[in-house]
Amino acid sequence: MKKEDLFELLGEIDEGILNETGKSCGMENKEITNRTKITKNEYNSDKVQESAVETRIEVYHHKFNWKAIAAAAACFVIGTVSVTLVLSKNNSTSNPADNPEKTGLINTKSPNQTLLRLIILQAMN
Amino acid sequence: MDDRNIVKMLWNRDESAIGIISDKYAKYCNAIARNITGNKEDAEECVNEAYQKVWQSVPPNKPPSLKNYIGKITRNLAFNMYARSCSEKRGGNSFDSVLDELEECLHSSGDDTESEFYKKELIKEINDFLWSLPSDKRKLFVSRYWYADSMKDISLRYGISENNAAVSLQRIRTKLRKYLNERGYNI
Repeated sequence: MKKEDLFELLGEIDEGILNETGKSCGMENKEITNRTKITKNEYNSDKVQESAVETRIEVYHHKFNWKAIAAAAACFVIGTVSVTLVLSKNNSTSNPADNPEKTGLINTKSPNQTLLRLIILQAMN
Repeated sequence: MDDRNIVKMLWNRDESAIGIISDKYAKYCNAIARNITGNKEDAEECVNEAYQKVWQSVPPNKPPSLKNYIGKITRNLAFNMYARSCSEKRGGNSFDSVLDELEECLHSSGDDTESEFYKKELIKEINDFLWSLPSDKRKLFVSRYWYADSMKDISLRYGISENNAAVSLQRIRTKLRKYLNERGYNI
């Protein structure tokens, strides 16, 4: 068999195979190049740029769930406030005798006086 | 317009069908013809002749795919024109390389059996082989050896380098030759 005969014979391959290869086959190179150019022009055009920005904004909106963020922020604020309140309450109700240095009950320069004051305090309690 | 309606128009001998076919498939047919003849004028002549052939052959034929039908006619006409131009020593286009590549599938001491039965059996085997290939390889083979697309076009279409396409096609040809040899076809 000659190569020409084989080429002719290949003309008889299944239509299913031909259909699968698709519309693009048999297209001239010029058309493919033009198609690429059009795509580039389209990309550079303002319309496409605008639509790209719109798409980006859409993505941004979809990405962030504002309700969830607001709920998380509220939880943080409530948590911080309640912890602060609890701590301040604890400080105000604490016995000065529990922290004598801060309350000025201890005079580090005269330990005897300090001891006396502590004994008095204990007696008062 | 739908292909079925165009075929109906042809069956009703409505001449406007040719105009519709031309609008729909002129580019497609021109590309096939130009790939093979390598010449714009020859390609246009082939395409016009193809329209004529379609007009003459439908009816009695009722092609399921008008695109494939007219594509095949154009391919055959373009190939005949190429053969004529070769005999007149006007050849020397890029289509020569397509044929040279196909020669690799042939056995050097191949049989010269060219009966219709033999050819039918052979094309059946080739079809089976093509169906056994992955889809992308099959498309590559059809682009090159049915549409006679250039390596440049193929590389652009499938997003691969020309070298990559050439290597893939060479592997397919080797496989095809082995496949046919295993089945007793020493073509």
